[in-house]
Amino acid sequence: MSVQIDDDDEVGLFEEALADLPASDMNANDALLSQSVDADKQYITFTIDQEEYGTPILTVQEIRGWMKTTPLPNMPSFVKGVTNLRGNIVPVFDLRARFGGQPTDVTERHVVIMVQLHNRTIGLLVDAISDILTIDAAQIQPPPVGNLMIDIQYVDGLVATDERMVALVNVSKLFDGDLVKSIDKQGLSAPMQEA
Amino acid sequence: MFDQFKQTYFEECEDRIQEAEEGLTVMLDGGADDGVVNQVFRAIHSIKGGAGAFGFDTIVGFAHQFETTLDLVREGALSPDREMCTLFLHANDIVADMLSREQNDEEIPSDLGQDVLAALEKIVAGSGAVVADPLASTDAGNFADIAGVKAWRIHFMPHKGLLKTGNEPLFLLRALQDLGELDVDVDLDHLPSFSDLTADHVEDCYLGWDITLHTEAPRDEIVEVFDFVEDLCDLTIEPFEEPVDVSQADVPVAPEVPLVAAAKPAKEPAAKKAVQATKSSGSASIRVDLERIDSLVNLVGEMVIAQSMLQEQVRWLPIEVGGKIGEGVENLARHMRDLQESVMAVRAQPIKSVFTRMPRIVREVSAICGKDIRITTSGEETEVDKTVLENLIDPLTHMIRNSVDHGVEKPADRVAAGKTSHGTIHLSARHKSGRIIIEIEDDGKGVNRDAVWAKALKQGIVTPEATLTPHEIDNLIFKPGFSTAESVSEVSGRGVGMDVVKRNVSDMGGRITVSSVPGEGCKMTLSLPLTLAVMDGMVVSVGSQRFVLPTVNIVESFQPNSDAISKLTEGVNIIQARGEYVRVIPLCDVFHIDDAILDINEALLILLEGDDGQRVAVMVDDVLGQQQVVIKSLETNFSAVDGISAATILGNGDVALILDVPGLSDMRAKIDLKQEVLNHALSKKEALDQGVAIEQEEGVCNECSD
Repeated sequence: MSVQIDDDDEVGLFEEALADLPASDMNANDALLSQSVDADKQYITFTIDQEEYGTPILTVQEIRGWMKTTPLPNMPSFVKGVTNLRGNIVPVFDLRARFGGQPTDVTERHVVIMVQLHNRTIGLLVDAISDILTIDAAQIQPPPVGNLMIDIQYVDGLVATDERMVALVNVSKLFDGDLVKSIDKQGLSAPMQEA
Repeated sequence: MFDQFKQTYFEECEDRIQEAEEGLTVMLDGGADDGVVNQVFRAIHSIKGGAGAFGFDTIVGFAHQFETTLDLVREGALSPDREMCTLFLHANDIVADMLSREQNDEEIPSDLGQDVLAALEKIVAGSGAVVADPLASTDAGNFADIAGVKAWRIHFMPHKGLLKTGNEPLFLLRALQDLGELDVDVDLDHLPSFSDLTADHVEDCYLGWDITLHTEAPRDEIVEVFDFVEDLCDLTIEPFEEPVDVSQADVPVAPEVPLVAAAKPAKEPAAKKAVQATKSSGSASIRVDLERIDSLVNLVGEMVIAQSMLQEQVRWLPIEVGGKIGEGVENLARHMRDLQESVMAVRAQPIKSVFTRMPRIVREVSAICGKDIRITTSGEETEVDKTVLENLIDPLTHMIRNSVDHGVEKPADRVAAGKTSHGTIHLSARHKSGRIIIEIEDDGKGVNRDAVWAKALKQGIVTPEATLTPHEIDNLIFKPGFSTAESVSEVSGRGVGMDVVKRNVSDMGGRITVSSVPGEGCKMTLSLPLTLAVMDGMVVSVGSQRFVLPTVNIVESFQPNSDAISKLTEGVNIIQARGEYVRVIPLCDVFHIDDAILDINEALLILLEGDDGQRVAVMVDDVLGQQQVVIKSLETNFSAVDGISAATILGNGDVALILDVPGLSDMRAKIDLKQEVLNHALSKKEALDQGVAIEQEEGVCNECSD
């Protein structure tokens, strides 16, 4: 199940996504608003190509439709550029390219997840938001080697639910503090899985 | 509440320490009169007073000994020589250290300043003066000179008829007592002589009261007490600011044992001076939380953006509608500019606060190195934005250390070279075309070019074939990975070099250069923007992208005349502009923009001048206009980008990048290389195909990657 975004209207995105969710998950909405006790067990999941990934809901600041970005010169292809988020300059990263795939051919239907990371706000470009899941620590399995597009060092674990498999992405490892430096240093192999 | 007082105390102490330091520096140079000595004494005394109130016993003990010694100087029982003044300066540094530890909730090491303390004691003992109990003067009474706890001077003179209206002065005084500590003097001036008192006067009130009230209550609350008698009395309520000395001399709130028995008479004039000083400086300024100013600055920033949005929209209106609105918007723009300048002026502070930290560093470092170095400063009143000021401390400290450690020679070497045995470092600041220029000039041996060259070769920073001018060689010291210190010394061998200084400075949009004359000295020049918030910029287009060029850097823009262009090598053009040959930097090239104008004959050139006077011409498609832009750092959420100093938001809400002019000129070669590395990184397959090329360039890549 995935929810596509029709325009760059940020309002109502969650509602739209939640409308399709099973009733048992509806309290996710409350959790979002009040950050209830269980909030730290909740994950927003999104899709890139056919694969589904998740990130803790508490790190997510907001979700927006695709916004125009200003490209930054001489950056790796996963750096989409910077955008104006209510007066703040926020970088947007193409997660597909970061995982080692081809740069995303952006359309208005793509979605940017704004994530808080070490006091920074960054945007993650993904194909679509799919779900909000409540996941107990016991449900998380260690990632298997070699099955994913993404290098497993960036995966905290895997969760199997309703015949789907969700990889929990460690965003802070993917985009650590001094990004450009890390690109230079790790230079030749950073985001990719070793062949 | 208490924490807030503490914070204020520490802030005030910072000023006191500076005052003391200034005074002591004057004393050191032998130019001291009584006023200067008093200034130092007062500063230390205030620090001690507050420290007592907060229970910082170590500071109290130390400051007291220091103060006692200073008091002897004040009385003339001691005449300080250079050595003693140096000791005093050192003592002042120690007080500052102790304070900063208390402020950070760190423990003060028990041996901190013990040697100085002993030396001070010895001086006092040597003078034969009688000293009172060191801790006697530090009871809670001193709380009064901490801002936030205030004292009010109230003169209350009831009219004759006050009692007839059923009011009772005693109740009023009791009400005041509820507000704080009270000290009342009765005013009998209006009381008729006994013989004149008759039965007619029995309901009249002849007494008045002079009241000193120690309270945190605002004035309003005091006025409230007198609410019902307002029209029946003469009432004046004034803030009563009592410097420490006065509080002891005039107000018997906290009776004190005199510090030094013999000092009592000498104190009176000092106290009077203190009153004057407090009064003249107290009324002219207020302390404002920096956060409030920052939010004001941010708001103005947002308004500048909103206004440029309006301006852009107005252009599309038909003239009959747009004319008037356009006029209004123009007006608004003018006011916005004034508003923004005023707000920036609020944040601006004299650079003095940074400069005054430097003498201490020179003293400490030169003591370690066994050198005799004096520091002089000029232009301390030059104002610069608070943020710039804060970011300036580290690089400046490092540069001064560097000058002391590597620049100025040891006394023996200096004499051998025919110079004075003591070296001089001159620190100056001035404004120049919208920027602040700071120069650090020493009369040392200058940059050792041979050593620099050899080292640069060894580190792979330059190739043996490179031909550099002497000036260029000097500036190699700012290259990453370069540190001239031959041995790792305590002073500058901390694994950071001038490249860190350069990076700090570049992060602020500043430049740093060095010029040196071998044997005669070395001058480092820092150029910084006055503010980090707003600047004038020219918006240009390159392909579908828009960039902002800082207006201060622009010399002119022109359509190149094909005769003036000469091709140096493939893809590198040189153009003759104003009788000078300058390099053309096609933005489409360095930034890899593929939808831009590639033919130099069809493009527009903008001649730019960096702060170092170096000129380049950037090639763009078109100039779109000029506007004020709000500088937004890319590093808040991302990191620094080569050739880009910051970003801004244009009228239509889009983000535009602000070009880093001097950074552009040495970018080209770098970028081609870097791109290759990145391509390599992102596609292993591709990388394998290029494997040979990459390997060849690996050595150079290291240099380029920072």
